[in-house]
Amino acid sequence: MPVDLLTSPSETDSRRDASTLTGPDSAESLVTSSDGGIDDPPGGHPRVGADVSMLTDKTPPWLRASRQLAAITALMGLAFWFFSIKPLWHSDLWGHLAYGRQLLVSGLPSTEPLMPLSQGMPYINSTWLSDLLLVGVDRALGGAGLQGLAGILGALMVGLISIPIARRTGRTLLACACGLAFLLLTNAELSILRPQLLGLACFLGSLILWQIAGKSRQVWWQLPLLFALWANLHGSFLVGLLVPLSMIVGRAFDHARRTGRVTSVLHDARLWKLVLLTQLCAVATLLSPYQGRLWVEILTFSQNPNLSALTDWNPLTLRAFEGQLFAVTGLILLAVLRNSPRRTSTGELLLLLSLAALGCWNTWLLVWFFPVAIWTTALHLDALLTSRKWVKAPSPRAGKWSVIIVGLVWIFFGFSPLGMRVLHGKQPSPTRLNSDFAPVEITEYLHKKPPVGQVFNSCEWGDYLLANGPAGMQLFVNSQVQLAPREVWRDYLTVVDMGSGWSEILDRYSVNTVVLDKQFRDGLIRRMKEEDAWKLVYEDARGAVFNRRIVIDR
Amino acid sequence: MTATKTAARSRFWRAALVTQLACLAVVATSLAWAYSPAAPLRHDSSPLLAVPSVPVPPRIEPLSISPLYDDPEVVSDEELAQVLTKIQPRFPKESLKANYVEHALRTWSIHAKFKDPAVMSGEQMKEFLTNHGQFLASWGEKIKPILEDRPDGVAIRWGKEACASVHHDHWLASLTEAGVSLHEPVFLPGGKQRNIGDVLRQSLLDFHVDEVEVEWSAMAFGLWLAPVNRWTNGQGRKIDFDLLAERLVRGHQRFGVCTGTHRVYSLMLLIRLDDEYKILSPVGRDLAWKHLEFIRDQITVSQMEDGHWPSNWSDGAAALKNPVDDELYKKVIATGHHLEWLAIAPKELHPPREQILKAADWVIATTNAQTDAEILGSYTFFSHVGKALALWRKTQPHVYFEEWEARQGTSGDEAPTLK
Repeated sequence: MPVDLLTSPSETDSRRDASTLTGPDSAESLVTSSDGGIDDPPGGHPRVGADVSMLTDKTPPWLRASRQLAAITALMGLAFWFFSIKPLWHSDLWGHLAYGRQLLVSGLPSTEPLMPLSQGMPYINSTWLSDLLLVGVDRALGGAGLQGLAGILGALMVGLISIPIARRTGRTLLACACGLAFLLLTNAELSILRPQLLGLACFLGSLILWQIAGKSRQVWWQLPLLFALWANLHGSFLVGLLVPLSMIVGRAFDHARRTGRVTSVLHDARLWKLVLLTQLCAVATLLSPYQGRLWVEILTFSQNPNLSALTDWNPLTLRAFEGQLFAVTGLILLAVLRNSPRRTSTGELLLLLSLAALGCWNTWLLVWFFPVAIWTTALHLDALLTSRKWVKAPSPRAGKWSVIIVGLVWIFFGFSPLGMRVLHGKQPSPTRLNSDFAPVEITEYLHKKPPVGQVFNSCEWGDYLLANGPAGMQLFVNSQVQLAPREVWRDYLTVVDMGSGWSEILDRYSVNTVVLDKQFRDGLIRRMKEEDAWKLVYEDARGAVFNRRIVIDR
Repeated sequence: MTATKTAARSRFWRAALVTQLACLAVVATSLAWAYSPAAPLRHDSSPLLAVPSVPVPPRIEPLSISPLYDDPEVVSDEELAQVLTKIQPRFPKESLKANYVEHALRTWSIHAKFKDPAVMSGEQMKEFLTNHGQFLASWGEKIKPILEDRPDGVAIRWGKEACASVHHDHWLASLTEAGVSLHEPVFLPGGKQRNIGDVLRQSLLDFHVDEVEVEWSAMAFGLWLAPVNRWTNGQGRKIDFDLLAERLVRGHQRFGVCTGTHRVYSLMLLIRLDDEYKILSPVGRDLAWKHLEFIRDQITVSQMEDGHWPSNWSDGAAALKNPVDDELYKKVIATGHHLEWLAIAPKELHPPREQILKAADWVIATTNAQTDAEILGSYTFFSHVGKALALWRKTQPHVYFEEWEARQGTSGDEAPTLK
């Protein structure tokens, strides 16, 4: 049963008892009847000049939207606009664009295709479909298109959180609050356009489908299809399988506890349906160019020793902002669960705990915990509010809300970079398109004076230079550090940390050009200015370029 | 109720069957895709699992690179005999350095036999390196073994530790050039027996393109594997000889074993192998060839007046403008090695002939002027001289010296004329 976006929960349509109106949601007045007419006031004096027929909603019923939907649309629109005006991040995205372009030319490689020092390194492109999508958007609409895609994904995810909560609880404010909470908690992740956002969208979609798995037949093809797509968009599909696994184990545990017999689990038809559906979803992920290798690659990915240098791949700590967000979310969740009259199923707990554990083990995985935490909090908060007699305000359908929704969509679209591009053909300027850290001017300089031979570059700029730098530029590393040979990555760290023999390392690799950022490599830039072997050839507020005075010829 | 339950049960089993069939269909499709021409991993030995793929060498005896010139002007019979006499492997039996034995074997081969019982024969040198018992007899138990048993093969302990093999894969490369067979037994600590093939296998698995020294590995792999030209190491990296050639070319020329000269020898060896076995792509060969032309140009302008090449030969003309005060052994390294690779290089890659003659004259005179103790102290460097000069007479040191010893009395003073 798909989510019906045009109706509010059925119980609110008929609720008209003013005596039950208590709590903040009662602020809405119920003086209007369901067809939108206005009753005469008491005392028998007719309204002067009012023509009732003019106020009749003539919109076809199927086109009428609810106030709830309008509110959520406003939130989604804000999210769209907020994320689409953000500059494109300087890493990740550009790397995926570069690999996507290579994919279009040469097909899926089995070894790293773009970094000369990573030749021969095994390469499983678990985001190939996302890469193609990004390239397609870039080619069709340019930078504005990419910004628009970021906005669309942000809005989509807010919608995937808010709409099911609104439908399930009937509480507009709660749904919008949850959407906002999601935005706040995942703002850092949502601000970077990369395949992970597509994975997150699939995760949210799968959460919705798993909720209705017991009641709907369509999920038998919807979920496997989603997982098959997901496996080609991003490697997070394995996290997605935690949801049904938690449901299965939780349901089995609850069933056994309720009946007092473990073997009763074997007779739970719904449980077995869940098992079969999970099996189907897991097998569907084999529909990728890498088949079972994809699973091996994803499961062993975090063991790559190169990743230990990246903070994203380190365990979560309270000192980090993400850790503090996690702690606050956890405390709120605990408080709500403690006071909620709703029973917490074992499956729910298992899912929360396993995602929390994953997030603690690896900061990068924390983003999957937040939507589940928000969803759980919303359900329990709804139960709590209902027990405290906080009635759900009705959300009548009316044509005016449809008009408002269209208007909102148009306004948000029209004032976004995507809208400017589609409607007026305008692209944002490079300074508005790119983050402050992106080496825009340096890249322009490198196009004018292409480097000869091996380049040593800041890792954070590797993706941008790969996608936008001169063709054939031989970069040292990019953000795909797991693809760099161990020795190369160690040597990179030695150079940027100015460790022992750093200068000799540049000689060993025949590096003739060095491109460094000032934000993190200012010390190295100053040292290089003192080195006789190197000449500063370009410098701006973001970074510097050095050329070797006597080129190492090969 | 029973009818309802039965109907529900049969619906369930139907759904289960359909699900299993659907799963089978997906798995079959996936497998078909894995082995199809469109699959990115179709060339892997196992598209489903990432496994190292080390080829079985196509031969039992290693290849050898034949020298190209028999040039008595570079080195006469007498001069060759004198130099070879100097560099006989007359090593002390106790605390025998593996590095010395490896260099000696490389020069003299496993077939070398000497009349002087104080001189180790090729067999004895081979035994020392491949038999832990012989190693123990020389060093006692206080030293870590040089041979290390591993699940996939045999590793050779290398590095700066006492009695380790100094350079990575130098053990393997030396024995390979010495003509050892793939099935030659290797006796490990604990009495376990394996063979040279196991050492090669482990070496292929352990090889990292970006390690500091790849010269010896490149040589050994080339001489064993050609025409096979690619494998997957233990980390899943696909390696081929093009990548090795790029790696040998990478970096300032001063880097690399023996003041950067051995990289040149390894590169030349790969090109010679490519002549017959096509182990390089046209791009890879072109890269290697152009680099050797560059090296030729560098040595042309950096030779010293007396004929030797300095350790900073790679600076080209700047080496003459900014001469370094080299110790003797560094001069011998540079000169001996350059003569060695030039002996197996085509003439297009030679500097002017006069320079080769001058270099040979210098290195012969220098070697003959050393005392036995001085030679022993720098044996590894002078061993290259002997090999290089033998190559310039299109012979092998052990072949020439055996004939010479056979025609002489025990004094071995006069050099015979080569056939």
